[in-house]
Amino acid sequence: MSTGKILFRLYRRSKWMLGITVLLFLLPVGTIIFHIITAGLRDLSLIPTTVSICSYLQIAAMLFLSYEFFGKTDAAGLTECLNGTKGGALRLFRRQIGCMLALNGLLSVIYLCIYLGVCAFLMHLTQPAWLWNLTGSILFFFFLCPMTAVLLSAAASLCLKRLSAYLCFTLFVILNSPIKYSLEKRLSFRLSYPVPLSFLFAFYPQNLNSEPPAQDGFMLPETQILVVGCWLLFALLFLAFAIGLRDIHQRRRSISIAAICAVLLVGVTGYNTLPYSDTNADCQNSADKIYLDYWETPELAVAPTTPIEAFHITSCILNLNAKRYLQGEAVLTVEPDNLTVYGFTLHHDYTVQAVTDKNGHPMPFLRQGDFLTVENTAAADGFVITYSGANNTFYTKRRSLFLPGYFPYYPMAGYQSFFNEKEKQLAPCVQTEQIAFTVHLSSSCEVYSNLSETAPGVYEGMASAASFLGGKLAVRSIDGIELVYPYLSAFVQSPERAENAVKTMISLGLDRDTCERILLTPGHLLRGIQPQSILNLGDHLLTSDLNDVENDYQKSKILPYKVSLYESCYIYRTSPNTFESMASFAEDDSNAAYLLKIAIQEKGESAALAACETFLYNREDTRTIQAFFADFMREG
Amino acid sequence: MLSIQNITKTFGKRTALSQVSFAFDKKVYGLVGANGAGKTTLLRCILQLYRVKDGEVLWNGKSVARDRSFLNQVGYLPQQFGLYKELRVREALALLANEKGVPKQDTDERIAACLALVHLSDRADSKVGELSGGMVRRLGIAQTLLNEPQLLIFDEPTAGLDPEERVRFQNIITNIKKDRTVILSTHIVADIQAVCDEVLMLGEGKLLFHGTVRDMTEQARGKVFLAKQADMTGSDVFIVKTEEKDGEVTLRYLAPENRGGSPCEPTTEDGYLCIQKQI
Repeated sequence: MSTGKILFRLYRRSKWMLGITVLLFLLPVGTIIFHIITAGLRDLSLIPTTVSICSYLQIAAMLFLSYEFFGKTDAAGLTECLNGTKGGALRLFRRQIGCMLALNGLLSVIYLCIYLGVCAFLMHLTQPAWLWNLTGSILFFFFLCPMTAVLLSAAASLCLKRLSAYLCFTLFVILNSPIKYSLEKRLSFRLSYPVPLSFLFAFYPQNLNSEPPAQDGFMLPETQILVVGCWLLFALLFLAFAIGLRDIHQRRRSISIAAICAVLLVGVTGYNTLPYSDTNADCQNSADKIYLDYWETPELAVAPTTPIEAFHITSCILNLNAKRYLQGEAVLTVEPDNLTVYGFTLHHDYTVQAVTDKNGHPMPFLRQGDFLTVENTAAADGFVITYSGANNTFYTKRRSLFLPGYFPYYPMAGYQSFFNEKEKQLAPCVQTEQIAFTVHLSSSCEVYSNLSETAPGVYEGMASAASFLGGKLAVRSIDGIELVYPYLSAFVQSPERAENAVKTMISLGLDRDTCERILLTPGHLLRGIQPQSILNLGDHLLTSDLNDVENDYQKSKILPYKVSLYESCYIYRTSPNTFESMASFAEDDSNAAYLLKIAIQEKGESAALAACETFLYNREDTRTIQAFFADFMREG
Repeated sequence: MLSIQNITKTFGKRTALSQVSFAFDKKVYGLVGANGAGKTTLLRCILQLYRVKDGEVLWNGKSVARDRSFLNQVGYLPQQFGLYKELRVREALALLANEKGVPKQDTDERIAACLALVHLSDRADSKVGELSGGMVRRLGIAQTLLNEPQLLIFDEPTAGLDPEERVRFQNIITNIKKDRTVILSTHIVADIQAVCDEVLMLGEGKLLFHGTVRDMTEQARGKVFLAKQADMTGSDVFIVKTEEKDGEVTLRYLAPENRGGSPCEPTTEDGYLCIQKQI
């Protein structure tokens, strides 16, 4: 009879340990039943939540179960007898660790079979990249994370009494639970110093208040993997140390292992301190941080008072490294090229390291909030701007990235405010002039763009903006227009919805010659950011969903700042009572509804609405809403 | 063959063993001494459970300091011994057999033989938790024999056992001692008398005496007396036993000379005490 078999018998004959283990094995089945009852098996969106919860429960259980299992040898009084053998008690201890790891392995296999089976056979999702993603996610949450718990427990069993160990485990479980977020806030406030609890205790991966972007696929966030990796190294270090204390014959080997683990731990920790995009940040959604920045520091969006002349960028060569965070080099050719001062817009989350001319001569520059002012001291016709940083909403990570063309992640010509101070809303930077883009994008995920990929990682084309969407994505061609969407989206289960939506847009005037691609963007990250659900950037559309396509598409044809007038007209037609309330909310020229009401009263309904229609759909007409009404009222 | 040379072991400032040397043969050795004399320390030094910086432990002429394979030829029953209560007797012994390197094909046969030796064959399928203390101790003896060792070490094997179990233990030792070195650390003089060929006595970490049981007994010859308390003179006596009968107290004492009363035939215990007390 092998030692492993005997140890499994020992394990299962402890009734309470067996009971908890049986519950752990029933969890995967329970989650499937939960899926069926709440959302139906075809909805993948609940899977990350259930994976988080089940993994967390498994980790907690493994801490206590492993401790009790490893402690059985001492409790039985067998340790000294085993130490009188060649392998010592350590040999049996290693086998016990192997048993616990085998148990975790079995659990991961069960989860894997269930989720792979459901997704492959019921939902017909068989793309290899997607299946690898799911496999990696399951193995991470149901094997690697619990393995760390087992090793921590093994170390604790060698040097902590039961009460101390249980207290440590309880603290560990609490700090890894969602409670950590409120604890973190309280501690940071009290100590007046950031306490990174949610970063350090990353075993429960999901912030209750946020969800990862759909194109991440199944959860496998890099930062979390690195933090868990740190914990694994720490567990090995602790275990090596504890073994060295216990067994004099293992002392040298233990010291060597502990030293290696310590070096690796320092290295991984150091790497983890590099900037990164945290799309799971503790905000209502990650967009809150963008708002918070502007609310707390409104001058970020206030253009410098330095007068600049208008210019445009004729050519933009971008060398972007978009893995953990964004590192960029923008080579810009400008016209006219004889101005003394050039003003650009680049989001304040990016630090500018250097500005030179194309020959490498440094140029003086000033960074103020979202704006970059460069003195053209060398009479250059272009600039090379080197910058880097991370944003949590318009993010770059190893698994996915989202860089829409309306977000100044590369230097844009002129001072464009990304935040509308009056309406307290983000104002997408929409440009109309065509630029010759060449983008060399280094990323770890599959990327789609409005630009054509002329070589691996090289995107080129004439466009007003360059958008990039990366991750676990699929593409469907519908009547000559490509829809790019995440695997984990409703369109997987309801492909006819996508087809109907695109065909509706085509019937409303979507030009297949102009617009070639629709990119489905992370909806939850953009809640409240895009005033329009569909943003039209000329050769492509960006949208977070395709629910109310008819209305949303009409809105997309107009410039974003005019949306409030569009909505006023729409509500006037569809719900007059609501319109009255809107108009009386603020009776001044900041309220588009109020201005419309006055215009209708003075000039008549049909004239006012017709003029509005013309103004709204003319993208060349860049007058403000107030200026338009002022001109309209002056007309005879 | 086991040999220890100038073993010295300290724990902080306290010297537990001091220059202990001995060459063991294929006999049964009783290791005796007061509490804290260094008996368990010596056994653990032999088994390399403590690192021995001063002195050497040799097995067949080779130092065992860096070679734990010598433990494959050792059967050890520590003072504190137990087994997993949830396992059956057969399973527990199989586990230990695996740890001792017993070939898998021989495991069942060895287990059966060991259980037969300790008269526990009928309990092979019982759970360890169902056994009495004496049975667990016997199981402890059984596990020492699994790998057919040449050196057996028992640390206080009969502590806490009733007289019947102790006799049973003595009989087992008598059956298994052939062609083996057996070291038996004990406080119980009856065990030494019953099974030991030679005795090693430790005192304050030093080897005070080694010889046969008879030799130890003879150490007390001419030093054991029986006297009425009233007849006692002198204070350099060690009272071994006090008896009261009909209001009269009779003392059995150890002394270098007669301090009253008449000499007695010494016992092994008398010899032990004479050496310990340096009478």
